[in-house]
Amino acid sequence: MVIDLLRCVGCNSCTVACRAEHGTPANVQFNKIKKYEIGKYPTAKMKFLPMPCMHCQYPPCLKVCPAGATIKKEDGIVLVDENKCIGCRACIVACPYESRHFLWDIKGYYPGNLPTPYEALKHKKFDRGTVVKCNFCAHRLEKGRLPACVETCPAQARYFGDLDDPESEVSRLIALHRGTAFRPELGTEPSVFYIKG
Amino acid sequence: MNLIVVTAAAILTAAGLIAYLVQLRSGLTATGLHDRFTWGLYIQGFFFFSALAAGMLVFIALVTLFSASRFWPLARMSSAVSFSCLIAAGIMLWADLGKPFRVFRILFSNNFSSPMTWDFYTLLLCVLLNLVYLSGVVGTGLRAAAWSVICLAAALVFIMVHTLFFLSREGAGFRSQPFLALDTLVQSLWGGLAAVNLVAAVSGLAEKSLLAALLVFTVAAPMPLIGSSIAAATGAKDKTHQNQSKKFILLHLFILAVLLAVVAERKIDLAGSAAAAVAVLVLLAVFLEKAHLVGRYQHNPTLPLPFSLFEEAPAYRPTYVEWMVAVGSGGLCLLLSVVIIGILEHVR
Amino acid sequence: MAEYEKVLKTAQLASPDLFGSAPYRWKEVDPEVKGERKVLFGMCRMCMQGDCLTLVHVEDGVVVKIEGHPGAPPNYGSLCPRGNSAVMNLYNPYRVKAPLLRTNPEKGLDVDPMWKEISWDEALDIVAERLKKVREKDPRGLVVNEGWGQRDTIIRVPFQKAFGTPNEVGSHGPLCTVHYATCLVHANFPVSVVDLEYCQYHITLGRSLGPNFATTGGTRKFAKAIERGMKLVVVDPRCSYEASKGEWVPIRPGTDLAFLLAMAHVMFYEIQKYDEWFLKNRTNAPYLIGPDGYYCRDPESGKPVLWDPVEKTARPWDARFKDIALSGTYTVNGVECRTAFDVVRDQFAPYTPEWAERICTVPAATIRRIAREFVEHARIGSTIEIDGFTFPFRPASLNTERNVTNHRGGTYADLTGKIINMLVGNIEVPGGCLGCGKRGPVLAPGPDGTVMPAYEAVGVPFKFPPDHVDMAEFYPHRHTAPHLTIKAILDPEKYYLDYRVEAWLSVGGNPIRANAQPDVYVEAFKKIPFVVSIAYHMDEPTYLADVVLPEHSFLERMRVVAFWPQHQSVSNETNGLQMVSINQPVPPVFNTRHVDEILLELAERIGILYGEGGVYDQLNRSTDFIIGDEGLVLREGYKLDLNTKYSLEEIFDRQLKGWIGEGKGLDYLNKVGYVARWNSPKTGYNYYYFPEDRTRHEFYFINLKKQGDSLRENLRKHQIKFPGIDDEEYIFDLYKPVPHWVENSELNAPEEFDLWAINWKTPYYSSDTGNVTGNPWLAEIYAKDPYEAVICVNSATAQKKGLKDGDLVIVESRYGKIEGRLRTSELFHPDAVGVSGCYGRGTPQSNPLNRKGPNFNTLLPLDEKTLDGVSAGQEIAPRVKIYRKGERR
Ligand SMILES: Nc1nc2c(c(=O)[nH]1)N[C@H]1C(S)=C(S)[C@@H](COP(=O)(O)OP(=O)(O)OC[C@H]3O[C@@H](n4cnc5c(=O)[nH]c(N)nc54)[C@H](O)[C@@H]3O)O[C@H]1N2
Ligand SMILES: Nc1nc2c(c(=O)[nH]1)N[C@H]1C(S)=C(S)[C@@H](COP(=O)(O)OP(=O)(O)OC[C@H]3O[C@@H](n4cnc5c(=O)[nH]c(N)nc54)[C@H](O)[C@@H]3O)O[C@H]1N2
Ligand code: SF4
Ligand code: SF4
Ligand code: SF4
Ligand code: SF4
Ligand code: SF4
Ligand SMILES: [Mo]
Repeated sequence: MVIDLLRCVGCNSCTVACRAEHGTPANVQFNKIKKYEIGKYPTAKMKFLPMPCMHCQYPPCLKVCPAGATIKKEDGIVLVDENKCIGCRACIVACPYESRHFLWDIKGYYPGNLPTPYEALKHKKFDRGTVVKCNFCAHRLEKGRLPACVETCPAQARYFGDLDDPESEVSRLIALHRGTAFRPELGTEPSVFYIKG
Repeated sequence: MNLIVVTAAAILTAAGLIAYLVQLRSGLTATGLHDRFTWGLYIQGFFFFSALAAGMLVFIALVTLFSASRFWPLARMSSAVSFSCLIAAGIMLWADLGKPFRVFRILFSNNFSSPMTWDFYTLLLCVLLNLVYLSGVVGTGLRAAAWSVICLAAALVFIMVHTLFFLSREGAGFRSQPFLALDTLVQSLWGGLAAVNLVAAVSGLAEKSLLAALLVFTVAAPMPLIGSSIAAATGAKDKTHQNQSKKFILLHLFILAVLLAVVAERKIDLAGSAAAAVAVLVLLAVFLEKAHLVGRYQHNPTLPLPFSLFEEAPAYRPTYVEWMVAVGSGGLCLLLSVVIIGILEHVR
Repeated sequence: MAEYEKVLKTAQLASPDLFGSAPYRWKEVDPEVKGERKVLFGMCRMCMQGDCLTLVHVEDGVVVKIEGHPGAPPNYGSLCPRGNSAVMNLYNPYRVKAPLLRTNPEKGLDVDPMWKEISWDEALDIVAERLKKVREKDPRGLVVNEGWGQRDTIIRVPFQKAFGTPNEVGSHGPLCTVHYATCLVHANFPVSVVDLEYCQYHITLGRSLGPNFATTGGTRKFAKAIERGMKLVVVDPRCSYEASKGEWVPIRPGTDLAFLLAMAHVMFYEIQKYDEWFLKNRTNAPYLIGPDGYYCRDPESGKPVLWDPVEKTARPWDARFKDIALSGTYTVNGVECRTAFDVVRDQFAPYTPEWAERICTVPAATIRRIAREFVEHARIGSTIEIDGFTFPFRPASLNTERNVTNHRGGTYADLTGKIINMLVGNIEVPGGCLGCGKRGPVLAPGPDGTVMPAYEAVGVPFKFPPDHVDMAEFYPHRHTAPHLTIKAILDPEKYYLDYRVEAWLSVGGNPIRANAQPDVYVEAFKKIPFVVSIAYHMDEPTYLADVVLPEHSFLERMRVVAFWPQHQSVSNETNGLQMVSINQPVPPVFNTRHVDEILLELAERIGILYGEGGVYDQLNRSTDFIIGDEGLVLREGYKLDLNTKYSLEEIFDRQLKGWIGEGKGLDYLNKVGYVARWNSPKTGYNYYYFPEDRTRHEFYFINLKKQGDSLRENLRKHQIKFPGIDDEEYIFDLYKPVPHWVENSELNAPEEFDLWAINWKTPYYSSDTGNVTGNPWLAEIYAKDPYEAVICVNSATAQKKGLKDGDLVIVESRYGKIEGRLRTSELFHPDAVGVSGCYGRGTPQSNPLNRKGPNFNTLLPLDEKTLDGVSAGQEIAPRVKIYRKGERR
């Protein structure tokens, strides 16, 4: 994935689209936007850093997973198999990008006659005591669709494609704008690149 | 005397069991943990018990290897305690899992890049080695030598694995590698020896030599800390760690002082009870060490601000459930030790 | 922020179930649809624009996902955060779930109405009964209050007309008086925007291009413009989202008029490079003005005259000219006249950048630089060919919005903006400043050769005693005036009313929360004998109602609409687009009804549905407010028979058949979702319909003067004054034909009020449509947002006052006070106190989220003296002081 930091306006549309796509329980967000300031008045600016899971090529989270629950598919997508996860949370400690969430509990948003029909349906696929994370919308990719956050972005700041194919749009963007990973010094080789930062 | 201990231990164990059942029902929300501080009392306890067990194993292995028969009775009892510690450690780990009944996946999914896998294997191995030893088949000569070598290796690996968990974490200040490895090693031997001393003291086998050994490690224990805090002071961005390292160094020095006093003491019988006291002190120190280590690594956000998801890290307070489970497994450890030792004497 | 985690918790703990029916259940999905998966064509309605096309995925009768309709205009598959959170708007336990009747006569925002659940029949009968009585007594006694909460109804206006009341009062007006200048100069509505397809240099004053509140269309166009390198200058006390992508020019709140006057001054006196051709041939700048300030006219034809410097004579505007004098003083049949251009120019002489700097704090040098860059980038004289048609090409535009216009003198600020744009000739041409409403022959010249004022620039005819409860007779160019309405309700004599308000019908408006001084509104509501609310949830007006009629949420609503050109900007993403689209309803989850079915039912029971002047008749006659006959209107051959009953579907079907043609109607739209027609992009520029010298824009705002003078006459005639205004010159000073400096009510506040409070829309609130402020998905995010629901102050200012980030502070204006957590930031002008969105207030029975956070509007004044006398706009940047809670000041 490539994220254009000039285009991104920090609207969090991606974050909500992701939640809507996956129906994650309350307080579990696969995608996050960091909003921060640089500079001093009157030359200060607001900055935004959208962060899905980086789908590292050398994912620390996978290294430490004792249960073989975290897997890296040949296409590079890093997944958690909720049927294998033992909930040891070693991966949360290991992930340097805070991309993982442990399902301490599966909460909806409303009291009383919880959950809403939507939540009742969506929460079925979440298993308390396991870890969840952004899966690059693998289920959409299978159907030939783009990830929800990419499709919904009003600024069209997110691009998705095959990094191994030098001809792909993403590869060309990275080459053209000298795209960089976030905190490359960690040597995790993320599959998410930022341009025009 | 034993009876009181047994019943007390049994009660604690039962309490722990109940607490755990509560946790099973409500899930890990029963703990004070959260995504930001995801490992707490359980992992701290796990590290603690494993450290002791491994430390003691080293002692046992050495006395067997160099057939220091004078220590064999003590070694046998220590093995019982070591075994019990391992069980307690196992329980702590188990209690920390979101899906406890899948724990044996660790055995079969053999991901050997995962510290926890190694942890699990070596833990089982150490349990096994203890059982073998207790069963008495080790005996002497080559067989004994072989056993002790394996045992040494297992114990050392078991100890060192614990330094791998936090490799990817930032902001550990004076706890950062390579001093962490040294520290973990020393702490575990120190703790082990303290436990041995404790056993000796309560079973009237107290010895100056043992105390002396403890003294050596008490001197050694603060070294890595001192080294690393110097490193931190010079190199590290985050200075907040320094006074914490100071706290630990001071604690160690205090223990050292007490120990010196005890060793200086002539009459060994007095030394016996004093030794027990010191031993307990050391054990406490080791626990604090482990607790701090686990906490320290999670304290700072993995991402530097402003990128971190958690501008203000919510505090971690162990819940009563956690405390009960922890104390419970301590109780179980005690219970097992006493019972096994009892059996051993019976067999004799 | 930690505080907000708590907010979410309370929201999750408080029982949603405190009213109406016994503990509600989510309606069981009927077994038949089990296992059924379908995708409906949807249209988002989580904001007032509500034009993003969606796909609504339904499984087992449950909505499981709402996403943008891939490839379909205007949003091409993208959605904003609000749109993405729409599921929670449908499945919201805080909705009104059944018709309710008040049993507790005592009203108040903290008094339990003690609702009694009643059947639809009872409810409709009770309401019809009462309204009938009101109508028999005096139809004007009914106030219909509309707002952004309900933009989908097509029956509300016909209903109100058939009922016979002039009192349609929008709750959205007082803080949104952004229309007059556009209506006058562009004959368009609602506002004028920048052409992001071509613009190279855009100055925006207090106006978002979209990112500020994350609107889909606006943000898409914005990102493209930034990508292609358009220079963006954002004049704003706060470094907004867009300011962070361009040049931020911090300005002292509420002082934009000074900035604009000075910028014009620089253009008039220092740069002196104008689009002369445009001024001479497309504005009334060369018209000769007599000493009385009116056009000097030709004796025979009575037409305004211009000076021909070659022939040395004055001729009617439509004569042929060798040349036209833009400047000079000439004697025409005995009277000395000057060109409008000179009259206007003179007015700006005193407004030097140095003068402005003292008021607005923007360095004189910066004002000069911006003016210069603006003129340079405008490429005066250049042309562009679009689709075989040659346009003047002016890739520079300056635009303003509510935060500039919502002050006394705000109308002048907007008009000054027009003058600045006209000086470079960028009106309604590619790259320039375009009205964002109807595309078509709207610039048709009137008898004087100038564009006919449209919409709010037309002015409400005077009548005494006034018909309009919102005092339209005294503020003929007002947008909407609930603030004056409630004053008239509370004190009818003072406001010369010869009738009384007997009933109030709320249809998606919330004047209590959205305007100023909520408590005064509550008092007025208490005084109204009968209040009905067609409601989605327990908002303030609903909580104070006597009868509540629960309506479908937007996903449950059948809706068929024609596309309106968009608010924030223009680009080829939508230029030339004509479209009709549908929102296919999902199964309702509670005992609610479609707003228009409710209104039709009421009309029938009141007896105003059928026959001459009935609802059907009104519907037959009505056209689209924005795009006129290109909208969904009942065309010839599809008109309704006045005496047969029609279902809503049948009405939509007829509208559609008229629009699509070939007998294609609702069935067809149900199959395809939307029908888009693309006209050539050139038709997106209204210059195209009246090119060259075929029309003229007002540069000298004579219609404003006319309105003022006739108003003055009428007041004289009836020996009356503006209610609440002792010195009427205070208002007539705002009716001059040329903008000039006037002080707003806040400039000279006592100096203990040393700061100005400001407010802005956010990605989580552009308006409360869909009750976004009660949406937990959005709340979960703004809980973590550094600038939401806190009180933002420049770090240095905070330090001066000894305040720290996170302190609990009080912000106090002369009109009210609020409390909140302090956020220190570099993104704010040192004189500004920033409070985002529209948090706070709410009712005990609305989602608790509605009650959290500081309610900015509490700080605002209601007094007539603080209004802009032309637009009746409320002051939006009150002077305030800030101090730590507990420290008395
Ligand atoms: N899709 C969609 N589009 C919409 C809407 C919607 O709901 N959905 N809402 C529509 C409506 S009703 C309106 S009124 C418009 C509102 O659109 P805008 O008025 O553009 O939006 P705001 O965020 O209210 O204000 C814009 C900026 O004004 C700044 N500001 C505050 N005080 C001052 C001041 O004193 N001087 C200056 N120069 N700037 C100041 C704020 O910091 C903010 O950055 O948007 C319209 N467009
Ligand atoms: N603080 C602050 N105040 C503002 C503004 C601001 O930016 N900040 N913006 C100002 C501007 S520009 C405008 S135009 C006005 C708009 O003000 P209004 O026209 O009053 O519109 P809203 O307040 O958005 O919504 C009106 C009411 O409708 C309710 N509602 C939501 N969904 C539905 C529905 O489906 N059906 C029904 N029947 N009701 C529903 C909302 O909860 C709200 O109570 O607000 C003004 N007030
Ligand atoms: S949706 Fe796009 S623009 Fe909005 S925050 Fe996400 S990446 Fe940035
Ligand atoms: S970002 Fe974290 S979770 Fe994602 S792959 Fe990398 S390490 Fe694993
Ligand atoms: S929590 Fe689950 S995914 Fe993470 S390391 Fe443990 S088993 Fe693997
Ligand atoms: S790729 Fe899918 S899962 Fe990952 S952040 Fe985007 S929407 Fe969420
Ligand atoms: S801008 Fe956002 S809220 Fe408005 S219609 Fe589009 S998606 Fe819905
Ligand atoms: Mo508005």
